[in-house]
Amino acid sequence: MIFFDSSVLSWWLEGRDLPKDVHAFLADESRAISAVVRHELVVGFSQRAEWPKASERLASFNVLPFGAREANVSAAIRATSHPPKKKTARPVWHRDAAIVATAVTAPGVRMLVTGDEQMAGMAAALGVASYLVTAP
Amino acid sequence: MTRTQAADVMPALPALAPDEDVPLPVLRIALRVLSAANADLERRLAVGALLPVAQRIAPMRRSMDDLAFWTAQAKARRQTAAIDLCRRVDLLSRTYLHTLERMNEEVRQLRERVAKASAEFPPTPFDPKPMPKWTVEEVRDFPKSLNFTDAERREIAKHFAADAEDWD
Repeated sequence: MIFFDSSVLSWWLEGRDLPKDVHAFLADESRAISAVVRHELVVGFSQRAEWPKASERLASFNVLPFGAREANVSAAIRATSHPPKKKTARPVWHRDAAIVATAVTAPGVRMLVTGDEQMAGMAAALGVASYLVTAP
Repeated sequence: MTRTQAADVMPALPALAPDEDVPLPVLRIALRVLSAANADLERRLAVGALLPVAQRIAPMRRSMDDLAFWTAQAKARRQTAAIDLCRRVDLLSRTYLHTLERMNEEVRQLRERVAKASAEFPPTPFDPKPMPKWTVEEVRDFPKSLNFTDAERREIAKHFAADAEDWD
């Protein structure tokens, strides 16, 4: 299962240029997102004109649930890790931990595709291979 | 090591050009430590000290053993510049190694806590179903269905806009 963070998907939904590798991951049949990522993307795109197309694209992703186990793991990540240095990253820190927790607990996640260095590092530390995408 | 501490140590090192008073192996070690500190440490600090780092520690310890040997050689030959350079590189190596070890310990603790937290609950059931394809109107009208006032809707819209800026 290829698991996507909201950063990369927001660039994709906006039609920005992404590396070929990322397009190959996006075409993978086992593509998935966290329920938290879906929340972020619906918030970000539902008020925009491109929402109908974005909604259709998002519908093709499996949405992994955020339950008691994910909440527990997410809390453990938050309790052990440092807050991000970047001020703009701090408000979304708890959601990033929730996304990583989903990637860690969901069975069969082969790789996390993200544009966030800290998230990639955290996932790698917890044994989930990460593919870091530079912002286009 | 913080970025400020690294900046305090690194500019203090002399230019790494061949010098008859500084043997080539010492320069090689200095270059190795400097490039590790610049490229690797900075990057690892930037990602929140969470990358696995165990594999970085052994080569750094070897560099320090080499440096100890060359410091002794330089002292025996009274090579002042070499002793000075060895001392500074040694300080940087030790600080760097200490940072790696601390980061390694943090990763170990993180893994331990996550494993414990994960074991406390069974896996969340996952039953993939086709997602509804909402229209713009449906999403925009959703707050209305919850009987929010106009002022509350404006507040929600403001919150959504600020939220979207955060992760973009």
